[in-house]
Amino acid sequence: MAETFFDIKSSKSNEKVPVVNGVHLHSIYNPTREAEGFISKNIETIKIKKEILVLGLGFGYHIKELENRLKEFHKNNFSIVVIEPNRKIFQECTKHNPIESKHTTILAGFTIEELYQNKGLIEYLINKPGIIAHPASLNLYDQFFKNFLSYSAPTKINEYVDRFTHKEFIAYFSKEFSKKEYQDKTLGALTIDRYIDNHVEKKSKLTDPIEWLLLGLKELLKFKDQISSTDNKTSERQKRNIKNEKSINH
Amino acid sequence: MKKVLIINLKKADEILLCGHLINSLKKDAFINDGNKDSQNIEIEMLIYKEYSNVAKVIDGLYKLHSIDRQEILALKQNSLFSDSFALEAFYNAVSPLKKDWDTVINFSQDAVANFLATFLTNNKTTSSFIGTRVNEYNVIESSSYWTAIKHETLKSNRPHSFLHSVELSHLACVLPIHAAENLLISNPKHDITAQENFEKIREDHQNFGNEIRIVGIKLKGSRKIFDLSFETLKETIDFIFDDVELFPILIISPDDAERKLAIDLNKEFDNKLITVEADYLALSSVLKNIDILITPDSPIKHLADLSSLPVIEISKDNNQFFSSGTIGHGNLILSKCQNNYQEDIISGKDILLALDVMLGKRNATSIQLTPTISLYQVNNSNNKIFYEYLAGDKNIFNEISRYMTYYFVHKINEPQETKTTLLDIPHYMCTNKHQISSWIDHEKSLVTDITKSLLATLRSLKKSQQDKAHARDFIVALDQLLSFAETEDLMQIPLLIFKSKIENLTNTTREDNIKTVEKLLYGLKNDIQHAISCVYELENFVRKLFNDQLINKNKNLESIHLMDINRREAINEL
Repeated sequence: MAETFFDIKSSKSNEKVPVVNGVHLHSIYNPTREAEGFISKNIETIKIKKEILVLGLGFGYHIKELENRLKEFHKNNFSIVVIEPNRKIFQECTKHNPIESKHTTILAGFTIEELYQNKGLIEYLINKPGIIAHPASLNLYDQFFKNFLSYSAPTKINEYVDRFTHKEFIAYFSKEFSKKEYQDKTLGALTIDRYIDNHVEKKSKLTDPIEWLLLGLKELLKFKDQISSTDNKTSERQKRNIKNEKSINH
Repeated sequence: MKKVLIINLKKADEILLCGHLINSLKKDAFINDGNKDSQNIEIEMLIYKEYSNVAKVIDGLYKLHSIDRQEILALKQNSLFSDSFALEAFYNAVSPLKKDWDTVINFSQDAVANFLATFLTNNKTTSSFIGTRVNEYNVIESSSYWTAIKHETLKSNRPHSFLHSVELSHLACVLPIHAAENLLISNPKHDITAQENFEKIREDHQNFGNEIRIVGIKLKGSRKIFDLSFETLKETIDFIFDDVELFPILIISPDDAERKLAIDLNKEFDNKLITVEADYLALSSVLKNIDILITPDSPIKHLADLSSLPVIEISKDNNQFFSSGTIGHGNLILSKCQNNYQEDIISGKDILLALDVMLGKRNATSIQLTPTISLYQVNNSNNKIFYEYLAGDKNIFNEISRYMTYYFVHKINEPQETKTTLLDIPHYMCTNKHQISSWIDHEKSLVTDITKSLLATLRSLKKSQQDKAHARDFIVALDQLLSFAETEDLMQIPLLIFKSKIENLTNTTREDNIKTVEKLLYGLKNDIQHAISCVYELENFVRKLFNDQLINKNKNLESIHLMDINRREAINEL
């Protein structure tokens, strides 16, 4: 995050308000009341979603209000993840208005790449959480959040091969890519689908257990099509899921 | 302790059908072990996560593992995440199972399971493997004739299924089919609630002090095309309501459409109907408290089988129930002679007649079903599962084809020294000599064509061995021979097995391939001979049967004639 001018002011209601590069992240009059109004505007999302992704932490007044409202609808069965690009804001927030709740996880100061390497966050996003953007933070870090929401993960194997957490994958791909007979084929520049189609399936002999797993994965991914031809109910559900995923994407 | 892993990556039906295999594995281990310790075998099962609630009700499972394919699909399809996440999620789900197993059974034999079976067993520490798996040459390997039959018939979509999946899995595992007795896990709290509620229903609706029988009616099938029409359901409920000895209960799953259907039906009966909405776990408790279940094709029939509850299945698929229908001995299946999903011609009256047969109120021979409807009964005995025709219309051609295919696959697999598989054509198939003869002629003519093609293939193979220029002729001849695997008859089976072996050739040199193909062609010739000997056996059986009938008829005529003479003589004497 680029160098920022950081200041903390007191609101008329005597609550701390962070000011970043001259932008007030909360109301200078009454941040808590402002948060109540803001969260009320998102009440429909809160009613139907137990998991909420919040873009922007500020000093967390809206997070506390969000927790209160989520409790109303879902008792203790809810969770919040907050993405805050500026680590300094998080540090100051913990000093002045700490959020000490087991329901809320704050991811502060991470790059977008780092965020999309976070397995916990990925699992959270797969569950299609509701998204609430804190307007002042969104204005301040407009580009960061735009990039976060429109992120596209690397698709070529050699762009993500070092991110595997299981050494079996790293060992397998390194071994295959370095084989003399394949060196001119730039296998690493293929997507995993093309790698399976053009390389693994065409091998005269499978050698590594990972190859059976890759072929199994290819078959497993066909299940969406199988469902559409056999089970209308399930198919509808599946389509909805995919639609929801796309809505998260954009 | 014997450790067994079952891979079952199919839907709810197949998972519940696997319950019978689990039961037999446990009982067999119990019998064979001799130490009377039922814990001497640990059976674990790998399924898709969305069916965890189904698998959890099967008794006898030591541990359940699952693959969350929806999560994997979401990770793979969403551009936010790199494909490494999907790969690792898949790996995380299956790699803990890469350990020492005494036996790994690929029960579902689907494409994913075939690859996973190899992934999990290629460490050479698994003592025995049952099912199909993909070998290092990326071709399917079958552990036995039976698993090859399952694989090939699954692939070919053979219209006349002839072998039940439960019998097939037991044959593959060389296991006797042990009777199912309460193989469902239920929640004790649900059990108490269900028992109290059903006791109250029995008290409230008793018939002059006599206990009523509660008939559960499942409203919807596992697929929309299996559903019964509103009118049929209404008619069925109406008939049951009218019978003072019976009381209907609607059974629905937690599903909006089925709930609405129950409400609509209830309106027709002034809201007097009782509806039970239950998930799989709660259903286990419900099924313990009803007397008979009437259901379209849905997984509940398998739950009922596992809890030994009598079932009347209404199947709109005349072919599939032979491989996946209810299997409780004596259970009934109402079906159509020909598949026609669109037209709902099975009426409430047909269902009532089947119910009467099951309750012993009517004899199956005396009932008149709607034209084109057939009633079958499950014969689950002596390690065999077969559906015997009881009443209604029948298609003798299909019945004979199915029976003879079933007979052939058992016959060809029985050891030379034991001759336990005997042709015992059910009586109902012998009522139409013309149709049996027509089937025999059809198979004989097919054998003639196949034999010609087989000989042509062998000749061209010999020529191609001498001169490579004839290789093309050999390929053409082989192609033509393989085209017989597309037929839907008894002769399809040897051709299917041959085709699978041809497709799975793994030799690297041309010479080796030719030698193997030659060997396979002679093997096919043997199998065809076995098949035709089954056809001749049928021909002799039928000839003898009809001759005996003719002799009996003549004897009857003679005795009538003698009686006539005696009577005349007596009259004359008088």
